[in-house]
Amino acid sequence: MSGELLLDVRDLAVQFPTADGIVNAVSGLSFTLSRGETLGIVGESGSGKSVTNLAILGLLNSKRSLITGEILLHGRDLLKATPVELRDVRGKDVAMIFQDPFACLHPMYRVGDQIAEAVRAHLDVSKAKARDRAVEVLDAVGIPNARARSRDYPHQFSGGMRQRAMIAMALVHNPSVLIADEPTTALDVTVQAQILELIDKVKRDFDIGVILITHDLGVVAETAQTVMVMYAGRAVEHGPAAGVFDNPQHPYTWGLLESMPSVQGKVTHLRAIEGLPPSVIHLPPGCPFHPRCPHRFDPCDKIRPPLAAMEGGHSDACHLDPDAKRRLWAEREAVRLGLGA
Amino acid sequence: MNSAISDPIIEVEHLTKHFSAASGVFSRSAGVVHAVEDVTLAVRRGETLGIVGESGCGKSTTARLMLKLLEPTDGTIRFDGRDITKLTPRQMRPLRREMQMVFQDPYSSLNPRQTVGQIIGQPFSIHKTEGNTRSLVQELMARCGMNPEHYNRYPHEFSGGQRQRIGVARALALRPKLIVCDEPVSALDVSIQAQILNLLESLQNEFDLTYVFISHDLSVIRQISDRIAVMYLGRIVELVDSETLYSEPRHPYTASLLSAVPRVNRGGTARRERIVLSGDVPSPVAPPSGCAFHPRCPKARLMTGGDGVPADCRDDLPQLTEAGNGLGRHATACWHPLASADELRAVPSP
Amino acid sequence: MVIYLARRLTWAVAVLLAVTALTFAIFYLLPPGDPALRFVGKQPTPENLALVRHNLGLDHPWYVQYGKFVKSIVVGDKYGWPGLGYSYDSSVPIRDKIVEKAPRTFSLIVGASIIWLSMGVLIGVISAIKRRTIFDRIAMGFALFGISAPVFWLGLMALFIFWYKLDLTAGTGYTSFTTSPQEWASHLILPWIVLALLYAAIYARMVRGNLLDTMGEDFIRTARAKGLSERNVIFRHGLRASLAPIVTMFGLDIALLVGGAVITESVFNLDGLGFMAIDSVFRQDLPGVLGVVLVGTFAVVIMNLLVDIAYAFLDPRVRYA
Repeated sequence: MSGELLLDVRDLAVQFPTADGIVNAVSGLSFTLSRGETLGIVGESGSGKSVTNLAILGLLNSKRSLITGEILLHGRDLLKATPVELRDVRGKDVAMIFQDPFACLHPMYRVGDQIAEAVRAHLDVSKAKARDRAVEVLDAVGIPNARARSRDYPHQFSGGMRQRAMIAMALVHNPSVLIADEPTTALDVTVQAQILELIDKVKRDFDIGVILITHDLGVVAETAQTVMVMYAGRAVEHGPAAGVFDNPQHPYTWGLLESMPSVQGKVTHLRAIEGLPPSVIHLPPGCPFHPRCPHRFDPCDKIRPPLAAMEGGHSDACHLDPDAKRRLWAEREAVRLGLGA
Repeated sequence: MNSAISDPIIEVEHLTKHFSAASGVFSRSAGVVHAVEDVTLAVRRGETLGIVGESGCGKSTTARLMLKLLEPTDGTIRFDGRDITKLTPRQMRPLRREMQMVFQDPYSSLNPRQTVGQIIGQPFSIHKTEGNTRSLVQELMARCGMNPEHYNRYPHEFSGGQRQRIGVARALALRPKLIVCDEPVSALDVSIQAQILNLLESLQNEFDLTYVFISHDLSVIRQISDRIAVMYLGRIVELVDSETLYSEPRHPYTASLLSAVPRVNRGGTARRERIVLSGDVPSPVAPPSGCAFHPRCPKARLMTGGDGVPADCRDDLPQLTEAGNGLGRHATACWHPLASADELRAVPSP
Repeated sequence: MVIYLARRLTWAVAVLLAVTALTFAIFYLLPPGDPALRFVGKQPTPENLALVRHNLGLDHPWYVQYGKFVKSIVVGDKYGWPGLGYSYDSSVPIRDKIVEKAPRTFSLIVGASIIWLSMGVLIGVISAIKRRTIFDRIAMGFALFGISAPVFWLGLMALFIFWYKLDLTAGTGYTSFTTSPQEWASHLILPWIVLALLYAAIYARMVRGNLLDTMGEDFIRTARAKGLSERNVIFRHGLRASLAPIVTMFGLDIALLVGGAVITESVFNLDGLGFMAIDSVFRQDLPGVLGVVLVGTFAVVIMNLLVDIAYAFLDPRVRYA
């Protein structure tokens, strides 16, 4: 991990005006990404995690969205870049793979040709050379008989292979940052493991930074060095993975951890988070999580808790003081493991 | 016949379902999809049988065959002691009160043009039940965690989790004996998932229900099932109670599956050893010879030192046999079942 | 592939037989009036009528006549191959009539189809890109006009303005290409545009709709994420994926104009197959009707086959499913 700072997002906010009101998809989001680091962004639907990535790549419709803040890639603010400059970055310095590899590849063009197209989008080379590069990257991601397979169409690939092909396509220009938006959600468990291993290998071999967006805490726990938990468009907890999972600070994180069934053991009491995910148009005042939080107290419905850091780079947005949190978490864990009230 | 279970609520024997595969514009022959092949299972009253496997393994098809939503190509189905395999749809009708299904997609399994009240109340009108339909429906809604005053709302006004509650209420309406749940929480957020699982568990106790629960998610299956059947390419490869499955899996596929599930490792951040299978799940149109798992099996590779697979794995189809350990029934379809959970630790990734 | 073609062609023959048999039956069972009467001239004595009937073969039951009809198509008759007999009305061999009129219809179709396809796709694409701008609204308004305005009115207006008043084109009638290309084009330019207007409007709407749907697909997002230019994304990725249904429609539309462009041919006095069809019906000229029906059905069947093959080439999923 060479540690060079690649991406520095500062106070990012994304709003969409709609007929029903302004959707605050993302508010006050700040994080960094360094070489060799995997940042896991966790959240459920409506948390704003996907919108964040689309904003980084400039893929949001600029006429229908209002974006403020700074997105610094190698020190350069992407939000101030022109469309031409952004297109130069996309696919070259920052690459992205998405959830459903079947829908993400054009059904009517051969896989190799689609990858070659990615090559020629940023490099002036002949078609033949671009195809060679396509075969090269397909081989690097573990597709057997790469040259023959490059002439296949997407529907002739299996789900796992399609995702590998997407990863290959992302790598053609040796990007610094790879953003993976729910890359394994649509895949079988055994294939999921392969793809996660591949992403990790790619990160080490190419020395890049990876942002992994998912709703699956297990995936994040196993692959990420840093974790950011999002709720209603804000970061509610952010820190090193070990810290966040061993010592979670925010009641929403507690809720997520407790409501997940586990292969490691049947939980006597699967504690669900009550209520429904928040509407992003009519956010409750104060802390967005307070209507569903069993530990809410006086300031929670009036003042929004800022993201406050404790030691070790671990921060969370909650009014409870550290001692209270420690106590409450210990109590909840005891209940979960059936060790008495 | 699974003699370990007397008086099962539903049992299937040598259940098989083949589909003919569509062919392209110019091609001639259509292949046969071996969706479900020789499945024998019995479900105890009041238990939850989990069926787990990856895509294409046949679990959803098995569920639909059990309820006769699909006609089997071969095999027998017995519900409550009665052979229903050859019953016509008309003859099946009165039986449908007793066996219901909850579907996966809360967005497409509810008729968008009917109100919640109509959706949940429809079983009553089909089977001509006595009593005030509206109050019965509202009672169900309340029991399933919904506001009874939303009786006249349409599905699109609800969230995914609430719609799934509607699906459960509908299944529950006629007090069935058996409910088959086909991936009921897969499309839901994690926090809502837990709510629905809790709901299903509490309903089971109160209404004396038997569940057959289908999922690809091993953690969900563990949470809710008493016994679990693991399926691969249309066949059951392991069948045992859930505790034993997770602590002492016998079939190499089960072990690989468990190993592949990412988990939140509380306490300690050491990287876990994972068994990573090579290749993808083969197509059910052309299943491999012998044991369908042999091309990817880590144990087979271990046994031959990486050079091919043992002959019996390649040529002979293993049957689901009971491994008596005195404490209970643990059935595995494998020529060389695992003796211990650590056996596959030494397998290098391909 | 060979078996597929053989299967399709067998179907084609079956369709042709069914359609012509049906036409035969309708002709026999429905219309009042007796073709023999018209043929016989000014002295309809019973002997003459009987004679004429016998000559025309009308004294046999309809299925026997049909059998003879099919036989002469396959084998040919005294006028050449395929044997379509001669007109009850004018004694001119049908085959010759068709050979004379077909080029006119084909000229009309070829020109109009090129115009409507290019116009329709262009307007559709621009409308989709500039959705909800003034251009889009004007384009869709034009589409509404094109679909609603009756062809005969458009034709007559066009003639009035561009021929009668402005003297820019040659007006009604037809000159063959070999005689004089300029005259040929000058006669056809107005019918081309008038016919194309209707179809262009339909196609513009279809292309717009399809393209908008396609642009919401995930692979478009991937294309943008790769860093491709927006033009590349729209044309290479978006349009390509939305064209398939257009191709299907195009083939069929062309096929149906063979013998179907009746109003246009009438207004512009092109005397093509469409006009022949109507004319033969009014004159109760069964061989004439059958001739056009045969050619028209054949065109539809062939175009259907070509379109299916084209579809398979456009969309590899269909090919290899």
